[in-house]
Amino acid sequence: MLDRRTLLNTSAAATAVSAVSAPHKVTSKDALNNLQHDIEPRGSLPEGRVEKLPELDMESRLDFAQAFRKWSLRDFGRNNLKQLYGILEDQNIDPTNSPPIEKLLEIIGDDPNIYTAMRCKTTVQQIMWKNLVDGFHAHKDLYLAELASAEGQGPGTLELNPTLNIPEYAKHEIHIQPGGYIGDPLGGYVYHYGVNVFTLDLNSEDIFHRSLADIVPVPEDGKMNSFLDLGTGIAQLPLAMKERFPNADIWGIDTAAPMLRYGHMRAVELGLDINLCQRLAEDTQFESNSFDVITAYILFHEVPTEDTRKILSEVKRILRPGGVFFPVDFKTYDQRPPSANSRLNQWWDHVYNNEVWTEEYRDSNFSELMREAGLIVNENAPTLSKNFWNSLMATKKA
Amino acid sequence: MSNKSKTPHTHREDSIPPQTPDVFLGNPVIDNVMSSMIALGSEFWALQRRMNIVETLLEKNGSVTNEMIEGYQPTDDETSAWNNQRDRFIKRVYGFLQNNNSDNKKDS
Ligand SMILES: C[S@@+](CC[C@H](N)C(=O)[O-])C[C@H]1O[C@@H](n2cnc3c(N)ncnc32)[C@H](O)[C@@H]1O
Repeated sequence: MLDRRTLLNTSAAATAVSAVSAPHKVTSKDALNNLQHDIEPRGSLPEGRVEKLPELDMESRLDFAQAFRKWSLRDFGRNNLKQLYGILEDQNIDPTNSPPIEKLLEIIGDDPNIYTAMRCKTTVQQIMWKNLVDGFHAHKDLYLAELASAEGQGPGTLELNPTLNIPEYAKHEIHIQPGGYIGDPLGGYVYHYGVNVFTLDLNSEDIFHRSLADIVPVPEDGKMNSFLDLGTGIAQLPLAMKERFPNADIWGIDTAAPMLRYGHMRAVELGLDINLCQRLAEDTQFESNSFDVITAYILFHEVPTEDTRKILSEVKRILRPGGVFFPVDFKTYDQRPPSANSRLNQWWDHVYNNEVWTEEYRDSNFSELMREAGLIVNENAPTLSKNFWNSLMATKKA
Repeated sequence: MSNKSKTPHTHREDSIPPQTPDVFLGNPVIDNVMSSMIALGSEFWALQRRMNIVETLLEKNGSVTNEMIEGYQPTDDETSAWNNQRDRFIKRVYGFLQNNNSDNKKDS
């Protein structure tokens, strides 16, 4: 499985890690004498873009998790839905326009099926993370070495700042991922495979982010030389944007080092020149008018409204006149009032999937927030699903 | 050694875990038993899938090594047959959870 050469490289990389001090900036210039960074014990998925998990059983458990999740949502969930809508209709309540969650929960009472389905959804989420965390950590030294060795390589750059003052809201273990985005050095690996299960898209080879990159709007004057992704996570969108715009300067920032380190490792592996920095979206450190296009994919539902305001005024500052802002996220309640089903699912997501800020986000009016920040809003932006996503974009006055 | 910063550049210790206990079924013991039961299904499926691979390899080659098993990439036909086998397993075993004996039941 893991060969001897890989093992030998490990100790060299581990030494490199211990030499690091803050703030830590790595560029291709620091290359660590041809360290082989790629640890791929079981090869990659058919397209060659995403590595297979390091153990067959891990892959199988993930396969089960995805199928069980699908069953609890679609099969079991749909049965429950029929039942719940029946109860609501009996009480002359329109199920497509949900009462507030307190009222809905009161009506549901202690319905065993609805709560059993929630148990299933929660447990499968826990099993899924446990499997990934245990599995990657069983090979921890090797994966840490892989990350460390990629830090010394290009293409692309990685700037880490261990002393960054991360706001409290960004420290929560969202999606109940153990350690969240910041607390597990292998969090990037865990997130990548975990989120594919959550989105029922296990074999995705970045397919979603590649499709998203295809529809990112460009400024009216056609100039697209510089791009920034806020809350970039493991940098799947910047990677896909580099493929669409090979000559543009592509940047991504995030508060979480484990996510960025993994993203940089993949950039090296895929040979894509992108720049990743551990910085705050509300204080990006970029010069005013720097970017032609700025995106944020599923960032804002994880941010309190107060801080969203700060991020939006920072966007306004660093976007160049005529530049485009494309914040892709879930619909807010003002865009579509929730059905009883989505109200209940979103409550589960908020309380048991630890989406701490998502209800506050859904209660906000995002178009209005962008207007308050001085941006010109377009509520008919390109979207991969009109029913699901917010379809918003904004521009800065030319 | 530099004592500039004790925070490693790899991760931090101050992530905030979920605050609400995940008890849905009125008694945490029942919740725990349910979770173990679902986790066993996950382990069972890992064994079943391994068995499928071993059988497939034996049929094709007459012998197997651990490396062949770990590295096996199922064909599209195998993947769809195994997905079907997995989904039937889930329905057979966990379909019981859908039995409804509650007062809330609208129609039977
Ligand atoms: C749901 S993840 C989305 C990641 C990525 N956009 C993707 O496509 O998967 C949200 C990300 O936002 C980051 N984040 C949260 N608050 C932030 C902030 N104030 N500044 C920068 N990044 C932030 C988190 O660390 C996390 O990686």
